[in-house]
Amino acid sequence: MSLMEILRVIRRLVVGGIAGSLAYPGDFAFYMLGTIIGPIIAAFVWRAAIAAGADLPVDADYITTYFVLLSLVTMLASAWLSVFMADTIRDGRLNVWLARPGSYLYEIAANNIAEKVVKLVILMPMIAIFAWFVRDSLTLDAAPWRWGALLVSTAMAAMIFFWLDVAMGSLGFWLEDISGLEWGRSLLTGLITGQMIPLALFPAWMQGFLHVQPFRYTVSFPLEIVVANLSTQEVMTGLGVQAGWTAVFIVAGLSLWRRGLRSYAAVGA
Amino acid sequence: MNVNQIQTSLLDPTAWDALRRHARLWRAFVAISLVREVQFRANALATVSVGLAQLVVSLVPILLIFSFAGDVNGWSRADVLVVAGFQQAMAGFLAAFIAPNMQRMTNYVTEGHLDGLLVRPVNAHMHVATRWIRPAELFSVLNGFGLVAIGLIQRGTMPSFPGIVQALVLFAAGFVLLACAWSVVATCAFWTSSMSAGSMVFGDVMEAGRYPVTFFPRAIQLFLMAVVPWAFASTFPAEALTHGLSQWWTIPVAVAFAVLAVAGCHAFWNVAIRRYASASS
Repeated sequence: MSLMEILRVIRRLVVGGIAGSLAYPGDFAFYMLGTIIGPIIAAFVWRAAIAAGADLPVDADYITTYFVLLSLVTMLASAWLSVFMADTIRDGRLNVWLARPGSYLYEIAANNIAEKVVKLVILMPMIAIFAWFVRDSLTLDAAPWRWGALLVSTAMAAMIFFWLDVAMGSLGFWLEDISGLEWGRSLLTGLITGQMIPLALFPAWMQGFLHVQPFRYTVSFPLEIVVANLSTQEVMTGLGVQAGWTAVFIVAGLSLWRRGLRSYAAVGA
Repeated sequence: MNVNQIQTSLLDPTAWDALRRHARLWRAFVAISLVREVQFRANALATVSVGLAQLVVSLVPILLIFSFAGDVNGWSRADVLVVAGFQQAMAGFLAAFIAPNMQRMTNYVTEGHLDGLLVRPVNAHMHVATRWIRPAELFSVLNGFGLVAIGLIQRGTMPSFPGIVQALVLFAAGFVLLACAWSVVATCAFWTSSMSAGSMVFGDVMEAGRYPVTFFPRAIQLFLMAVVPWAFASTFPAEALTHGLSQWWTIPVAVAFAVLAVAGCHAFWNVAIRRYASASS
């Protein structure tokens, strides 16, 4: 298939996915509430610490703006397909896709995009309400180019998570159950992506590792572009490193997927 | 009077008989769950490991906060560890006794499994709310109380006997309140047809219980006392053990709330069950 044909297939699947997602608006509202509750709790706890005189390396504006934008970046960057993908492989439902001209990867990519469109519509008002409550120290006056860089960085973060999920899901070609691995991954990434705590708040002796590891570029770095006032050179270097990690995850995900397909013995065959 | 009520009134001439019969039934649920847990040992081991790892990770923010501050709103690091310990213990109790039942509520309603339960000679609400138990989750309760002990040791003070009794009463009331709140959320499945995501949100709010309620603005404090009452399950028991309760009326209010919550929760179930038209017929 040519690139244009692939894009057309994905566009059709995205439209279908949006229609399917709209059948469950209540569930999506709850999911988004779950996405924003963590940052709300964390924001108020850290703000209480600052108000009590905690000597943090960042100020209240940084903390507040970070946690207000966190749920948005987390949602846009996230992927949730690895367990579904492994189930599809194990159950033999992948057979259907092997008989079609388009790859199963188009389906999961379209599902990811479609659900994010619906989630974005639901999440934005929630973020606006949260932002209004903490408006006293919310700083959203970053230069336009920084917001542009945030978008580019979030798009690359989404690619990293997507291809990491493809790699994890592809393990379903060889493993019976990947839920344990998936759980371990989510626990680890929750900590070192900046989802639970801004990486700037970790001790100095951990900063070297936290800055080079790839998961910084999935949540923390996109947010740092706007809230940490990184210099132009730091942003450009960071985007370059992020592009490098994105390429690594694409190669890893595609390699595992292709190797897995070669070893696939369909259920019922 | 429906079939279920006629059957139960014949079986149990008095309320005491009904209570004893349902207690025997619950004992059977516990026995079955223990047998199941022994059968799936690897799964039980994974549950224990998950609980331990989650506890370790959840302590990172607390340890970081107190690396920058001596105390926050009158709470030291040791005090907050006691709060987090109670939260972990409560999360373990909820995961063992409440979550496995509430997570099935949507299926009961949408797939018609409730039909079979409604014709049994037991209180359907009791059956739905207590049928499934995950004993391995009780390991988190041990972790939690271990953390409470660590916090108290770090504090260097021995809690008084009245303080311990007050903490246990508040913790028990907190369990009843949280179980009822979760049950009300899950029972909304009779109207919305799916409340699985609602149960997930209930789990997300759990995170707030790890910190004293005074860390949050007034509106959230009220929410954590009246809507999803984590304050009764973690902050107040910790306060009783560490500082002594600042308000004497906390205990009678907690007990009264718990009694009202059980009555309200059961009344809500009775309203909801009247909407049930069976998914299988």
